[in-house]
Amino acid sequence: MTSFDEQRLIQLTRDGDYDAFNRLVIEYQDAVFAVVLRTVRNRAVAEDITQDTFISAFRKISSYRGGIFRAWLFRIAKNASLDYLRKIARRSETSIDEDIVYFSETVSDDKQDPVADALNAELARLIEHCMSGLSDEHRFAMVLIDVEGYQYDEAAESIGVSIGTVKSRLNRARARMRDCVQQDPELLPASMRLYNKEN
Amino acid sequence: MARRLLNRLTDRTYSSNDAVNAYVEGTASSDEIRLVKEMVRKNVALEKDLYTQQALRAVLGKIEKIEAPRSFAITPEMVAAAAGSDSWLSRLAEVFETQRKLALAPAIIAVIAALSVALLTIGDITGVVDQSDSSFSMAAIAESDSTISGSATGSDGPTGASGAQGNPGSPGSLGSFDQSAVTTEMAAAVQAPTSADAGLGLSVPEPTGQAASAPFERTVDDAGGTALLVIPEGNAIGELSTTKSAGPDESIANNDLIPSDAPTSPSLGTEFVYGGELVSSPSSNKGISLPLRQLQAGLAALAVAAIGAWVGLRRARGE
Repeated sequence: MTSFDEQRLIQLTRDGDYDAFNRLVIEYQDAVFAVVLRTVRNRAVAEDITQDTFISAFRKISSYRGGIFRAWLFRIAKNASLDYLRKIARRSETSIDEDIVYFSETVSDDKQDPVADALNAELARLIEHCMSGLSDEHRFAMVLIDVEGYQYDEAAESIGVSIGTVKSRLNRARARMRDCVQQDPELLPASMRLYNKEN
Repeated sequence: MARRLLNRLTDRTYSSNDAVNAYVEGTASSDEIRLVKEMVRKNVALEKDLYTQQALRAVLGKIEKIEAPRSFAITPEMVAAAAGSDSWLSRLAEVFETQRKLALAPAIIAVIAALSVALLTIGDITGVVDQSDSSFSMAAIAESDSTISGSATGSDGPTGASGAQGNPGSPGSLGSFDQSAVTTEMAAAVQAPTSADAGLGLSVPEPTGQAASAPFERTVDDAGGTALLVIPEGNAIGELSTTKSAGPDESIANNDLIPSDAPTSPSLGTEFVYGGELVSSPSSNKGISLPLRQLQAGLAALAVAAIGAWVGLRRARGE
């Protein structure tokens, strides 16, 4: 979709055109759902939050004042996700173990090697464990940039902070992840293990 | 500013942060690479950290993309349902959507209001703050430990801020005496002489009810300038009288003892004698005069409203 199309669809949405908005939904639902799921780590809750995000976006479309539309959607989704996480934190609830599965299942490797697959699954579990230890804000920054691969400016607009703050959060998140994964060095990729042996 | 100072203290600047990030992401410029290599030279352990971060980032990048499990297309019914489920609190919460920190404002207001009420109450008890209108502090009355029985319920109606409830047409009725009624009428009687035409305090304001119709009078001590109102123990308000007395035990109901030119300044200390006990009126100039009761009631209401708004906003936001 070109930028022009997006702006036209947004304008049509302002006029109350559901079809135009649903074309935007189809364009961005994968991205929004992925970020929400990786933030809340609960598939059912992620679906609810994603749906609410789009409904809320449609109702608040008049408050969209330009910029990256996807980042604006992420911002709505992020607020809803962090509200949910704060709520369950107050209730001392823990997220469910299905969260681990989605990360384990989604680490891919080109080689069809059962041993490598098993190691990847373990590594994914370790990553999930380490990411769950990050603060919500740090995790959100890491998900956007390191996992989903968005640019700093889009991440900054999504989170609602400056690019410098995003870099700072990402720096700390990476440092904590590094400390965490090094507790299980045998699960690290071969290249990293090689580095450890040599040094 | 603080962060920059902190970074400087930890020998870490913004540029080094950016350089490290860029190096880990593989997008570092030649200048940034040079800076990172310099940092590695100073801190050998950093090389391993950078390598680990690069490998970790590579692993994170290999995680497959997630696809939406279903369509999240919206319908007019969904939007209508969402709008219908919005309470007025939700709409209010939307006001705070852009500046979420403002949502703390009601809580802060509630705390300030509650603290103010507490301070006013403490001030009232300790005598630092006085009620500025016709009713004086209950603290002084409480200290006197006097439970007055009388005919306050027979009053024609409230004549003071304390709002003694009247019962017209039953002047002789006796029963439990409302202290606030007494304080109102007494204070009115005591304050009246301070006006220019009060006539040495002997002229009690025209009573409007049974309680106020009591022929108590005010007298002024020649030596100390202390006015005393004497309520003989066990008497109804109708038997109130003033006295010139050297002390509460020497109370004499004698209006003639009051000199015609006795001082009647507002600073005159005023005391009530009831049943041989002395009750000081805090309406003297001992503390700061404020509309205490009204302030306390208003601030308490504000605190309750603010707490309600705060809780409501949190609930509306799903917290």
